[in-house]
Amino acid sequence: MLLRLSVALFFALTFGAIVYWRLSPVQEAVADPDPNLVAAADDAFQQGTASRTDVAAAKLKFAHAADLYSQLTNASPSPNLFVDLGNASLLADRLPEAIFAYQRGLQIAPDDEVLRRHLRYARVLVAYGPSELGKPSDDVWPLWLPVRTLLQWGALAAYALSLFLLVRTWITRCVKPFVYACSSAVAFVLFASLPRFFVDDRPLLVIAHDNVPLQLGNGPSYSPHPELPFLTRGMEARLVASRGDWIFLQTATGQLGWVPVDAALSDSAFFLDNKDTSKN
Amino acid sequence: MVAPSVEQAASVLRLTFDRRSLALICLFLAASRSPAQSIDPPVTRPLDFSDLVGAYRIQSAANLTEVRVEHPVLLKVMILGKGPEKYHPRLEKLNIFPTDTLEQFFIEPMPDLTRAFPEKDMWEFTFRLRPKSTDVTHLPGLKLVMYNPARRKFQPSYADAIPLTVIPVQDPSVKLDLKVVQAPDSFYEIRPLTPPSRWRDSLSTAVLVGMPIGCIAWYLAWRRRHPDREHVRAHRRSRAARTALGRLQAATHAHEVSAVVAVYLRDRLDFPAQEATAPEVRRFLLRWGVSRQCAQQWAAFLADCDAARFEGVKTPQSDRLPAEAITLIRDLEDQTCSSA
Repeated sequence: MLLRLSVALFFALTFGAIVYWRLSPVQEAVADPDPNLVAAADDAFQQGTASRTDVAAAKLKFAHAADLYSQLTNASPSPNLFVDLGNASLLADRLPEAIFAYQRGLQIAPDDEVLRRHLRYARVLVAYGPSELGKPSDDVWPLWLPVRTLLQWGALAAYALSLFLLVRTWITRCVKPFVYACSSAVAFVLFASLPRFFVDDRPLLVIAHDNVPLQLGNGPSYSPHPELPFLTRGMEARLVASRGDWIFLQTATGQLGWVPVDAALSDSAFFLDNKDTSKN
Repeated sequence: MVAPSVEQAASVLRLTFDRRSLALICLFLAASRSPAQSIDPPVTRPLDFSDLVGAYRIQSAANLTEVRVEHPVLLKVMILGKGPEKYHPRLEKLNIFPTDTLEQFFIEPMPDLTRAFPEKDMWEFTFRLRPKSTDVTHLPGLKLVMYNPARRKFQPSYADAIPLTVIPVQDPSVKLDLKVVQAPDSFYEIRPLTPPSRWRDSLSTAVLVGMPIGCIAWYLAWRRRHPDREHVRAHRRSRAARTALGRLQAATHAHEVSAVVAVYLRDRLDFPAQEATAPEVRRFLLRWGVSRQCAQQWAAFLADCDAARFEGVKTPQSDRLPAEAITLIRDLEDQTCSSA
């Protein structure tokens, strides 16, 4: 009986590992960024920094740098490039693009300290109303604490320990290592599933303009949302559905409504398709 | 002139119509009377209907008469009147601005500034309007469309347009000799471009895939290196077996062997009898789920023990009794362990 149970646990663990591996955001191999483009972007950024006392001129330089970094991140996304893109966008007074860049970087490196700190700063610049509707909850974890990475390591360690104890069970045929193996398996499931609670799988949206009307239907004739009639630039939301040129979104505080597709930034397939069709 | 009395009118009617015609006239009059008046407006409604039922009038006032382009001016809208509570004025239902207002203004309702005084028949709403250009000369006139259930029709109420002077925004090219710091210094630093590190993903994959394979390989290697450790492992589980095996090493006589075996069976399997006889042990072991062959071997062994003990004859078989007992105990341990 003990042997059968331990073999069953072994297969369950193996299956769990396959599921965990499939669901983990494993970073795909990306092409190296074009060195000429990197040099041009860095040069534009440094020119902007050099002329930071002249706000208008600096803005133009930072905007140019942001455009170049955007091309780089599309070709070879990496956390460092997203930091540069976010910084250049923020300094060029493109707050929505900056927030969007930091968020995309955090999708690749969820525990990156610089990305988290700069995102916090950028969120402060968003003009939420006095009721703070639409404002995402604060990132409560200390910047030095890589929670998701620790959970990932914890899951791997629990998984390895559980398998080790299962083999000890087969060798000694004792109940004690099997009990410990079961405990480790439970720890593996907990560590593996906890990060899912931190992440919202729905595509991220960032409102691109000020005073975007949030409406109760997919058209301008519908009534505005009673609680949050207008969205401001930089507000974050999640894409729920789409119809025609309108998208149905949910704000960070739960308000649901429709906005035109060109009022928000996103990297979801729907937006990319829409851009393609609009180009054609 | 004296008005005719009711009796006179009735007598005139009786003279004019017969009884049957009078009954029909009464029925017609009863049917033609309006039913209990419903407060709900009809389904077909004007486009600018504000979902308001009753008798109301609208007034408006602005906090400024001069404003810069895209700067806010607050338009206070007061609605005065009475109506059923179900259709009292509500901000989200108001449709009071002309259709072309959005071409001239950005309009933002201010729910926080909405105030309602139903007991005084007054509601107050505030809108923040931002003129889009200097072409704007007036804050828009307002039109409040309501449904009057007494007259059973939709009626408008108007508020006049308010003159407004819109001046251009301040010239943004004015330079101030100030060092403007837009963000902390860390935002002005370029992060060194390092190739993305994928060792974490590689390690995760290695652990997730490699661990089961490694564990199976470890177990198979252990089995190959310790082919008889299975027995040792099984024997370790039974303190009774260990004790019995130890005593059998020192046992020379058949009665000692028989006693050790009986103690082992009692301690290990709770054999109830004091003396272990062959038929009892056979039946007992079969009940325990031991194989028939093993039970037979145990019965034969105990019969040999009894023969050696009671006949007093020392045969070559009696010398082999301790070794045979050790083999039988190991077999029994294997079977009971695997069945456990």
